[in-house]
Amino acid sequence: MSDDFDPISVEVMWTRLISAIDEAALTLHRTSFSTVVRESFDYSCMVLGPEGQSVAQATRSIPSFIGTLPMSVEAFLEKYPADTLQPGDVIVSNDPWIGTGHLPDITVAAPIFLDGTLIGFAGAIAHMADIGGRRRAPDAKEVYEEGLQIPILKLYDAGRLNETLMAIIRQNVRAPDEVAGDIHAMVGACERMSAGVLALLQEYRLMDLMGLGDKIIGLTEAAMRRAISDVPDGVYEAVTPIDSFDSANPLEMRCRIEVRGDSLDVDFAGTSPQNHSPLNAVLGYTRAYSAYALKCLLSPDVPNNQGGFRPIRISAPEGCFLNPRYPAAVEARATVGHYCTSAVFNAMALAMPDRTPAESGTPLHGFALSGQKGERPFATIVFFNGGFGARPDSDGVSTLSFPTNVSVTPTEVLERTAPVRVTQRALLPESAGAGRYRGGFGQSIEIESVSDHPVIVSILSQRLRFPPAGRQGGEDGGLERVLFNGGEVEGGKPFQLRRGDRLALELPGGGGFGPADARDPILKAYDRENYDA
Amino acid sequence: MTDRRFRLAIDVGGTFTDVALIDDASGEVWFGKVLSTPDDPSRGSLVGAAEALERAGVAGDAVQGVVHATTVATNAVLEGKGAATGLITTAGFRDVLEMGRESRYDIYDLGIQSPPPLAPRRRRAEVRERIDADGDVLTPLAREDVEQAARRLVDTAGVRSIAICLLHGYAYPQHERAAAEIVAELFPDVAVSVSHQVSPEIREFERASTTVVDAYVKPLVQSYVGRLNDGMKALGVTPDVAMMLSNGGIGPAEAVARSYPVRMIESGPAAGAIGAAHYAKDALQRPDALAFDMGGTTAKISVIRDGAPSIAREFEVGHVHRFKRGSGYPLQISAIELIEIGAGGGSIAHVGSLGLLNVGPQSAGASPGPVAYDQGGDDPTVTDADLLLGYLNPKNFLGGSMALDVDAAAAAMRRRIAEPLGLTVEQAAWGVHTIVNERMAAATRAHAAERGVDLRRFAMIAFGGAGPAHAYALARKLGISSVICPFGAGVASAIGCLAAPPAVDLAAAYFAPLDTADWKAVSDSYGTMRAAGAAALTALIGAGGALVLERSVDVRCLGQGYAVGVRAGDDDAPLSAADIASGFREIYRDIYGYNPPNVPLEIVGLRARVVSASPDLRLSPATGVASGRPKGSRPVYFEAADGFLETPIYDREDLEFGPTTPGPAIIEERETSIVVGPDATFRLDPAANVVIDLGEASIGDV
Repeated sequence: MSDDFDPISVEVMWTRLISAIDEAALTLHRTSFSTVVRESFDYSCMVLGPEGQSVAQATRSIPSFIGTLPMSVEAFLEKYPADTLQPGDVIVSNDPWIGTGHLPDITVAAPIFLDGTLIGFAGAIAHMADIGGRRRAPDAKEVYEEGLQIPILKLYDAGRLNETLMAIIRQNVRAPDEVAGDIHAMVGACERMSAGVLALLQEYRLMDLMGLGDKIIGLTEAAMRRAISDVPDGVYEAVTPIDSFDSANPLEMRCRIEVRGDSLDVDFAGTSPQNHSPLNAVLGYTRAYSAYALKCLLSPDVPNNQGGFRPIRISAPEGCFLNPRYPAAVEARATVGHYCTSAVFNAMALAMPDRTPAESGTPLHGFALSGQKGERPFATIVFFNGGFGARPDSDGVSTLSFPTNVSVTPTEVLERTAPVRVTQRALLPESAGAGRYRGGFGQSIEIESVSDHPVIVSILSQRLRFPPAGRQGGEDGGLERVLFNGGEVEGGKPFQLRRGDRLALELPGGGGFGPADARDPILKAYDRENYDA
Repeated sequence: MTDRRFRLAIDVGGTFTDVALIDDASGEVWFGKVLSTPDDPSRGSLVGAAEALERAGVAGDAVQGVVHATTVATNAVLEGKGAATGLITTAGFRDVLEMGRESRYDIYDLGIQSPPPLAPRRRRAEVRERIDADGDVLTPLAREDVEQAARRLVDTAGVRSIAICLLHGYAYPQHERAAAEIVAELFPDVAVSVSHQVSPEIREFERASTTVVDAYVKPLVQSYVGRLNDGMKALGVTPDVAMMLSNGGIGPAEAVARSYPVRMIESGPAAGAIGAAHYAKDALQRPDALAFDMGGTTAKISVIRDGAPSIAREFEVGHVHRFKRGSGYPLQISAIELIEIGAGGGSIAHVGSLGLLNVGPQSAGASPGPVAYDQGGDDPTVTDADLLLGYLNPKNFLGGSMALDVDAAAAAMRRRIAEPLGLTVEQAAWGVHTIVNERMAAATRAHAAERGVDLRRFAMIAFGGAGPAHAYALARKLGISSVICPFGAGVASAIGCLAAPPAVDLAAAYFAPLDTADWKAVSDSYGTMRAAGAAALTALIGAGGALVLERSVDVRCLGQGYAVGVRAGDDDAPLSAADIASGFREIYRDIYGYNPPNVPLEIVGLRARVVSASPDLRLSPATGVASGRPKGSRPVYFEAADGFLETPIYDREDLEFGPTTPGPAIIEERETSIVVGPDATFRLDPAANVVIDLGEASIGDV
């Protein structure tokens, strides 16, 4: 077997590479400080080629992060060209426009050298417990209000820590030890990945990463092209309306998908202009979630790398809220960007009506909490998820993170972290769309302040008017509600909770699939026995 | 023959029930294998026990101890045959069990499913009560709510077993205790499982999940243990049965079934790992080893350090996707850490969506089985590949009782793999063998990294039907230089039962900065655990039996999420913050490869294992007349030779003690076949283990 990249060797080396990245991701998870990382798994690890090509990522990853990391490394290389990099360098930034789309995510990447030659990068992203600024302020108008901006800089220069930068970061965040600890953990993960890649190349006597990388990327591209070819050619268009924080002016996503042979174009022309709120998703983020939706629908079983994106072009006109200009506020980019998945599903449902699930209780919902706990300041974010949309052959799963993949923080952990008490977490059966298969249930959650200092809570509320769509005659899911001391309110600005104040969120379930009167009587009976009031 | 001391081990597996009877005085051992009886596994156990006693010519009353490993609890979950189970929980939180942690175990699968809640919503009830994170009672337990809940669950919802899990009950159990008493008074016949007894750990979903699984299996396990004990008495065996537990210790079966049967979930695999640990201690100067058990559908791997398998604090049961972490019911209890990979002799080879060769996790199982079994299978499997590479003897499978069809295996390999990929049949077969090995190696490496283990210092203990055939190549991939294929490998789990010590694991909640910990309070807490442990083991070792209290403290950096267990000396050794801090730094470096950040440390829990001495197990293999010569030869494929080599074939029984023989070689025995590469040597050690020496630096040649 003389060919280095025969179907056996590739499989063997590929398995090996993924396990090296998984090892690094485990290290990051276990050494991180913020509850966002360790309880919500809001981080990713990836190995990239020398020009920033995505090659492979950890098994457990956040879809947007693995979509934006390649773009970040390309930008890093523009500032620090390959021939200026040296072993021990680590580059860092949280610039939303070249990164994950908002400031709390810090991206780091370390060049990997083999015998003095740059062969690739180890990259990691994690959501920090805090990044300064007006935490998740729904009324922010510009990115300057949203926290510390870290331009593309060297965090380590040939192994030497950039103390100045670390001091600036520490001074600007509410939880300096946690943030510094998490940055430390990401750098550790990059070291682990680099060591793993080098061990792999050495073992198989390979001189570079991209021989293997190009092989895998090529095979992935071919698989994606085959999958696209199976979709009928045509133009599929859908309009997906979503809430803004100004109830008189909702936003509109226009998604036009053109399938031609083995390639596919997605265009968001006609989408609402960027707005003076944090509801703006940079183009990289828009692309990441649109591409992710297509991968789930078309080729879920093949690896995720650049090959899967080559047959796909995704565009959005500059100045719309899916491609905003600097210095737009962007903190809540997930709140709108997660809908790219919905928009793509809504359009693709016209092409593949029997394979596209109903909409989920997207986006991610949560509380950003800050204030004093005893003598120390605290800041933390906890997330909660709505229900998954019904599938063509089964009910949606209740309370499941989609399209992101973020876990809920346990009540027992939250109550040790923040001066709040959780008074309820419950399924909301009425929030799911009925259908031959029904949507997964949403949930309600209520917290109460137990602090003598005010607890500041931000909610980036969504789905106040536009429920998750059902498909093929299935009914829509429910709407979100925000309740302050029992009364319904809009979630437009931060809440100040005094001792005894209660804040509740009710999250939508998924849409239904197929007409409700076609539902299997056994499923009906189970629901009636368990979920009728 | 005056001083014979017999012990009996019974390990119930999916297909076979293995029995080992040992005379601890002489080391003489009798093995038995009978078909399992899945409808009531106690029946097969008793048949096997009677058979072994008869073969050894020993009366039941000569048996001084019985240890049992069983899949009865696991199967109840996998087959959905547990009791109708209810859950009583804090008002506002009954749905936590069904909501889970809300993340997806596969980010691209739009058809993703969660395991259905074992206590569906109509069987979950809320009671008014609330204790906060600091132990302050905010709302006293409403006794009338508990009564009402129990009545509704039992009388209306038909529940036979009730789990009780209240918020912050891991640290402040008073409400759980009171609720359990109320339920027991009202319904003495209903089983009750209480979270702080089953799993005193923070995180309400995982704790509730553990407690509900416990409740779900409890009635079944209790009646099973009762039948087994009665049956043993009928055989004249007087001691109560001891049960192999997930954590590698044994406990009195009756008490375990009553208190926390969920701790038996990994009983069989734990016994296998303990068996491997016994062989490691017996055969190695430094007993650091990888236990490698490869059977028909899965491979199980565990790390043994200093003669003891490593222990995990959480695992899962009842996976929707068998090999996807996160798709099962989480259990927060200590268990021997095993990685299970969908890689066995029956794993099916196929060309994947990328046009690459893939193996498993789908398995042809025992039926239709590999193509070579000639039972209707037409998907080529790992066993078929091993046969085509010359590793298995078509005429000696299961001691010759089943002929293997080489031509059929070759035809299937050609049709499904070789032709589509443009390979020869031999290349395809080697591809299947090496890919399945790489998958096992990848999982092992990730696991070793998580544990901070350098595998190159480790030996491998290989058992299971396919283990010895894959051990040599897997060891090469992992840089392991010594492989041990033990005597009695076919019943390694039964051997493990005989080697396991009586032990019970305990935990107590304690939160404090390390610097200001109240060591008196910590010491008192360990005292309480020792007393509880001694009480739990009385039935096995008698009151006042010698016990060791192994203490460890869960420590983490202030604010970090994961704690590591730091050994804190045994029994009454003095406790100090400085020792614990330096122990923490050492473990941290081991696991993560760098120093912990310079932040204060905090204690987040206390743990103890109360353990009695391990039995002094010495196996004396029967000595026959060995020729030391091969019985023949055949062509066998080796990667190092890049082709087939004419290779000597030995019968294991013909091997002589002592001399080192160069490879290549195949050593055949009834249940398996040992592969020795051309760059390796082998010998039979004094305990009748086959030891393969791969030499230095085996890595890099693959």
